[in-house]
Amino acid sequence: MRTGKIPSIPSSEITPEGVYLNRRQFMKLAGGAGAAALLAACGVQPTENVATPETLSLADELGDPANTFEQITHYNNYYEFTTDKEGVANLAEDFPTTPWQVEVGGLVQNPRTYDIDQLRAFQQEERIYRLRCVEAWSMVIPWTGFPLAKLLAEVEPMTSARYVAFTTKMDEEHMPGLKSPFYPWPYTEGLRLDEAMNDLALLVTGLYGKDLPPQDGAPIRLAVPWKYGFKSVKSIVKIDLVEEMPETLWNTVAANEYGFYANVNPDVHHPRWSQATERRIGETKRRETLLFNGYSEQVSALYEGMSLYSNF
Amino acid sequence: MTAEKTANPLRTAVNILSPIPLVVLVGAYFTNNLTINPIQAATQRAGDIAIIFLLLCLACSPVNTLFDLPKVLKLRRPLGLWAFYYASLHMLSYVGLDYGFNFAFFNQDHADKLYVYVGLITLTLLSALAFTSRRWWKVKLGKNWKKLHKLVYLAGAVAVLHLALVIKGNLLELMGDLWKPIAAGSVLLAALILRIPAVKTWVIAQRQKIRAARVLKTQTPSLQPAALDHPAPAGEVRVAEKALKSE
Repeated sequence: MRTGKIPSIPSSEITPEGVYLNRRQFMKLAGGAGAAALLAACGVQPTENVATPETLSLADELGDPANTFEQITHYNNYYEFTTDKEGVANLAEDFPTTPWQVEVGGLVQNPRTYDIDQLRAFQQEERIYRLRCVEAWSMVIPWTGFPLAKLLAEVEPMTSARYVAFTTKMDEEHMPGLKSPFYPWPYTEGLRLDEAMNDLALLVTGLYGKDLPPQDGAPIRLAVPWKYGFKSVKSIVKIDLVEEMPETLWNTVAANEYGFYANVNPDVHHPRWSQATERRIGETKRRETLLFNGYSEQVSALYEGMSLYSNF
Repeated sequence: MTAEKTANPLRTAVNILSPIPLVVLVGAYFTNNLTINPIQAATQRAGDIAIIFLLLCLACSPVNTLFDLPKVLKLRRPLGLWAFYYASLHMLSYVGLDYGFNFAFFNQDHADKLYVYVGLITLTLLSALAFTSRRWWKVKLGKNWKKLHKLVYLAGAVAVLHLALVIKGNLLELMGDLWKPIAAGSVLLAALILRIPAVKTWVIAQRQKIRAARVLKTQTPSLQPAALDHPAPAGEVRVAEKALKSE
């Protein structure tokens, strides 16, 4: 396995500088379009270059605007609640996310259980990522979080550790979808260790500068933007360093459709969904899907010499 | 000919109610109430509605077998036609709205997708049945018309297969997003079982026996003296006696 130099990009490089600065401003204002007015009402005088709805607009490094908070929070694949993407927000409303602990263990030198506040204490950064669902729709999402690599560095993986396995919370009382007998609960996902160490792999705690809403995987989830959305596991309670490729939920359900790697790839066909094109939520026309969801530069080195077809 | 035209309130109801899902769907689409991914939702909803109509159409004959409601048989044509309309809408929404009739994109995405072929077979069958559903074809084709229209069961089966192929999961291993194909498959299976001649004959015999018993009961003065005021029709008594004798 190749464990070459991890390409790292500061978030200021992901976003064009102008947009980034606007975003900083937006973050400072901590709110939506009405933030300026709100602050004015609180006695804070808006300065001349205060964010207006136009400058508040966020975009990814390709210049595509971020989806709205409403879109990101009302179209969710979160089968622990329901298979109805629009129904998740409502059902997840009362999902308790405090207290919350994440157990990090397995083949590590310093196994440790983190309280959610300890995870929020890692230096948080904003990253605008594309999310490409295996169902052929996509969004641009302004996440807040910190690189998974930083957490892994703290627990120190042993040399025998080759994969990272993630487990989602199983809360029967608040997650009605768990009653479905057709899925091997709990939701599990995994990454190869070098993928997990890639700077793009983000542990997410927030969205649009606010705490992550339950329907989007509160209080902590993963975002691996070069892979199909189902790899970005939600509401994580356990992170295990392991030697063997871990079993993952969708791969168990239909191995021929949901590979372990699940890298976004327009040339690897899927029996149900188109993978060559996608619909950006909010747009009417389809757009062509990009290899590694447009993150080739940062991640293609991870797969050098490996067939992306047989290892889909 | 005139018999065909006799007023059938059920059929009128079907023709009034059937466009309602379309109105609701179009209304939701244009008022932005069709999820934030409206094109995919429109396609999927039209497909679901088409399958529901097709299953309702297939249920007519079994319902008549079970409950002796021959009027329901008259609903097969309108229900089948509405199934065809919604299936066409489903296909048009996918190819037209979703892909903007961009066949380069469409073919690139679908050349290897089994569900597309199965869907096309379903729509082809439904088109053939819709096209020949007029009385003129019935007369022209004679005996063959009935044979041809038995294909509606095949259409039902391939429609359910199409549904099973588009869900996320694996029907064979009973894992995934399965409730829709399981529900549709169960209705289809029940309808098919009730079409098996032996089953059909048995069900009708049972039904007649139950009715015969009821008729004879009301005929026995010692048991039900008041029943004399409402004597059962002679025909029903005869059927009842026959059913009892055959026991």
